[in-house]
Amino acid sequence: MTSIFKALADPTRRQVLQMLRAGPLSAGTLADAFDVSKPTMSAHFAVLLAADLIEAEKSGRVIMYRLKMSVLEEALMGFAQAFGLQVTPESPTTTASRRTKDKS
Amino acid sequence: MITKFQMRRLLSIAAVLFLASALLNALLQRHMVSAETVTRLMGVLKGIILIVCANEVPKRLPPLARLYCHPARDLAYRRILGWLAVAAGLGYTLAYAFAPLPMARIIGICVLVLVLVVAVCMMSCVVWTRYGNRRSTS
Repeated sequence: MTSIFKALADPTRRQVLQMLRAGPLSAGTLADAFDVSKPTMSAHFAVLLAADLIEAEKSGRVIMYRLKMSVLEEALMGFAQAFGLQVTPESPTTTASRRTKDKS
Repeated sequence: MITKFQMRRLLSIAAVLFLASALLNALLQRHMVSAETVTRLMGVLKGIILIVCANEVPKRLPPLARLYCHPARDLAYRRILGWLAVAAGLGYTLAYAFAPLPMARIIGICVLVLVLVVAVCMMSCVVWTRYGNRRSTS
């Protein structure tokens, strides 16, 4: 459950889920819709995959992402969208930069 | 294909129903609860089980429909069916909890039939689309 809250806490990830409601989209299409770098977007996808909110399907060189949310998870997302849920202030970018700092 | 997780879940649901009915029957025989309370509690329990199962419908339903229609439509059908089934479960639970028993039975049957009709309509729609597509290509 914690992973689901963590995934829904970030507005970018919520927007990705919103976009996937219309149907499966490729990783490239999703990444183009946001003003963030590709590695950051990959990290967002990884969080969503870990929370089991989306599923990835590789066809050739393209990764297609498909929504995989239960009714409760969808209701939680709507709730988070409406009230601007911000459970964890950590985003993949900040986590990644912290990891780099730790290494150096 | 039924996975280990689904089998475990089905077995636990069966165990909960069996234990609840045994417990309520024992209480009824000792005159600790009335027959109406037993019917209501079992109805509420069945409604809750329906909600729990319906909640997972969009997530766990086998992706067979993807073979027959556009993935976006498949996703839309799953979501509609999931939400409708959860709402039906909620209606069933509330009916058995608060409505007079004869009316609760009618409401319970109506909501279940409604979900079933919608599911059958969606399946026919998927099959019809597939059949139509095949006819137009041949």
